Amino acid sequence: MEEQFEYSEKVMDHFRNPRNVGQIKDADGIGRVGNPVCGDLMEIQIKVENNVLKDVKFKTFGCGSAIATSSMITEMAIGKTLEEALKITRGEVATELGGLPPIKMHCSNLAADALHAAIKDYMSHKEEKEKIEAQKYDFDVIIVGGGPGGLTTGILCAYRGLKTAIFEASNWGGILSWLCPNKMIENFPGLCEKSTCTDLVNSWVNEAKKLKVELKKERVNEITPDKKIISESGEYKGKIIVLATGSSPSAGGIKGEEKFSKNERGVYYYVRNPGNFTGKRVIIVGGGNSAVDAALSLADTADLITIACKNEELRSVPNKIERLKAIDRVKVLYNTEVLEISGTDKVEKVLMKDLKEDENIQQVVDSVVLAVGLTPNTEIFKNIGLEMDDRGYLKTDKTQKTNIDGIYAVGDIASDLQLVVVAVSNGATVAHNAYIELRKPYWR
Amino acid sequence: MKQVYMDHGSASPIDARVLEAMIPFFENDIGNPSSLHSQGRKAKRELENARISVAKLIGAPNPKSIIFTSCATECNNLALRGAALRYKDKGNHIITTSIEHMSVMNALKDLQRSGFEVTYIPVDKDGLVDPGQVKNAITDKTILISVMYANGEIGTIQPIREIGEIASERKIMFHVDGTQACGKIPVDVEKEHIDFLTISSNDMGGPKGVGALYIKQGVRIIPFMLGGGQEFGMRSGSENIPGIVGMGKSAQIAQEEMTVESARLMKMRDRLIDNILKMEYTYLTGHRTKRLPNNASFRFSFIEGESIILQLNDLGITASTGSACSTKTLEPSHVLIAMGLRHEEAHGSLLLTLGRGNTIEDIDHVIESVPKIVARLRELSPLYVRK
Repeated sequence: MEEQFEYSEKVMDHFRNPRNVGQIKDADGIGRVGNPVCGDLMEIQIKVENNVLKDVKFKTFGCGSAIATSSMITEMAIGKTLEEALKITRGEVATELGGLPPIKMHCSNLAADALHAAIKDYMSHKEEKEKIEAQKYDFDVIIVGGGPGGLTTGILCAYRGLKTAIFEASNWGGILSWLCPNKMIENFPGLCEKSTCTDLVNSWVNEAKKLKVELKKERVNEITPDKKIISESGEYKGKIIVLATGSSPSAGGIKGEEKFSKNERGVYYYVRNPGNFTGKRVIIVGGGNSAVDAALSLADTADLITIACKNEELRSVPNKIERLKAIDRVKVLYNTEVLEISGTDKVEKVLMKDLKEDENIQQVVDSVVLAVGLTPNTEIFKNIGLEMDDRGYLKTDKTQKTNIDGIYAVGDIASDLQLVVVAVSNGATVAHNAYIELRKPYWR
Repeated sequence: MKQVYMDHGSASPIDARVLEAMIPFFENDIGNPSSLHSQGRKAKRELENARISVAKLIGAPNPKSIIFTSCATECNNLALRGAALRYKDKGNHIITTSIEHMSVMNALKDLQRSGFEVTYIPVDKDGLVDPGQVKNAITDKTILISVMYANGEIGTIQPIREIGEIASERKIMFHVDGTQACGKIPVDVEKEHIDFLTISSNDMGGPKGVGALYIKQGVRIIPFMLGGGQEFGMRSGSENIPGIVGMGKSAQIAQEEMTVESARLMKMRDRLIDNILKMEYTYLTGHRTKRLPNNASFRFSFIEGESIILQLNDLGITASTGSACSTKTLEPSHVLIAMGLRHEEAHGSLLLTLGRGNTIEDIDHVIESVPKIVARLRELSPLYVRK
């Protein structure tokens, strides 16, 4: 019999053997359009992965061209990005089908509309989903530790619009606040000799407050690999966790050290208030920056300052060494190791060994300052499976990410440079990558 | 592949006996009935014989009341416009129904534009007109009532006799569009008080291009084909003798064989209806018993008629639908809408009209094919949920 319909072969092929008929389990978007004039109804369901239409299925109540256009558009759309698919027009569908009878062009050519509706449905769902997802989390970013790394990471994350909280068990500013609050900043470009550590910490805290960073003065008792923080007040879930627990002065491991290290009995790890050392004979153990800094800070108060340095020279910046040499009351013992600290109630003397001459020296002292370096505070992370090197520094990639997805590390636990300027730059790196990870901006 | 033609309502094949009767009038007997020579007189005789056959078929006592035209559409136009304009001094009100053929609908619309008022009587869910409503619609301005004898889309046969009695009682002219009825069921213009009856040739196995209008003796119309005064001045133009001879022959065969043929068709129709209705979400359209013997019309929920037609076509079955998608205007069938169906219900209509050539094997092929197609299309439909 003669074909009595004005449909092209391609239309008839899609009508007779429609492609991608049906529904998608857990479809990401559903578009339903109807033509009020003739009563056609089309439903298109889509599955989206990474902004690409992974699957498109249809069901159509309508005439031959309604079914053919539905079938055709599923073939055209699969594999396209949402943006590309939104650009498919009714006309293009008709052209792909080798044309439609003029009367059908407007009536039964709704497939493009149905696809666009499904994509828009997906997009609105996605926004909703993201909202619900966001509600499941307490914060975008939770930072553990409120020292230089933690505070500045918090500021820079909040600056990018991420909901951020910082947990700090003790003082904001971390080591800067308890170890050297009054020290002038010397190696932070732009601030050198202008402000003290306390000034800088105060600026950070104010900036963080201004950017609505939640500053929680609470000890974090546990961090779980699924990015939950258990603190004194409860549990908090973050999409990203940033560890910024900083470092502490290392123990000297010297005989007698422990006996005098508490309750002002003569062993100290840093010079908090030089006034406490007025008229005292002090021995500083160590040969690096901390030792030199301790000596310089005591220059106006202590009676006699001895630095016991294991090596042949001090490991500090030239300018500081020059300043040190200018102080008469400072004596530096090179190649000297402190073996024992002794006394009845308080420190009375130390036993040292001249490593070159191989002979022991005894010196009467009132105080011992152990400035042997800083140890990263990472002991607590061992049980959650974070990888670290043999000195206890967390291993991170160039984005500051640890081996666990979504957990980053900044500052002294990630860098043996142990510089504020490095901690701040780590913060900038993390804020940038956290933003990309959480917001998935178009430019990435 | 087996071919089954079930769209006789749209067009019918010509009966071989009719074609045989017509052939001489294309070849040798080519005279004009108006001519005085023997060829002309032969044509004139055959013309009048055809008139007698058609008159007999509809119980018209006088063959002169039969006017041959070119088709049923012309008959409807001639009757409605001719009568309305002729008797416009008596009144300007016309009553019709909401399920008439477009040739009635549009002719009346045109009359409305020239000042006539038309009342459209609704139909019930089976497509039946209530004579009481016709009666109630009559005013002292009513000059014409037009009701189709039977509707080709849904098969429903109207209570023509009751309406005719009402019209006759109130001295109102009664036009009946008998296109689908004449030749298939008994029609009697006398008993049914019909003043104008439209008769189609092709719908009873005759050739296309011929129709006949019965005009009751004594009733006048204003003709619109003016010329040589053929057909008693009602329809000028040289007569289509081969066509008219064919129509006369088909009327004669229809009259002789109606009882047997309609019983045969009804048996097949009922087998079709009973089997198709076994499917879920499937409904008959039109009245179950007051129904043309050759009409089986359905609607299927959740699917669309054009799709059904195209799929049936692939299986060798030719059928029809009232779906909007199948029309030039994209409007669904006004008949289905008048019966109270919603657009989407009218969407799923399937019309099977049987004819002389159909056999019981054809019926069984359709009974086997339709459920497959319906199931297939329902799988595609977003509305369908399996019971």
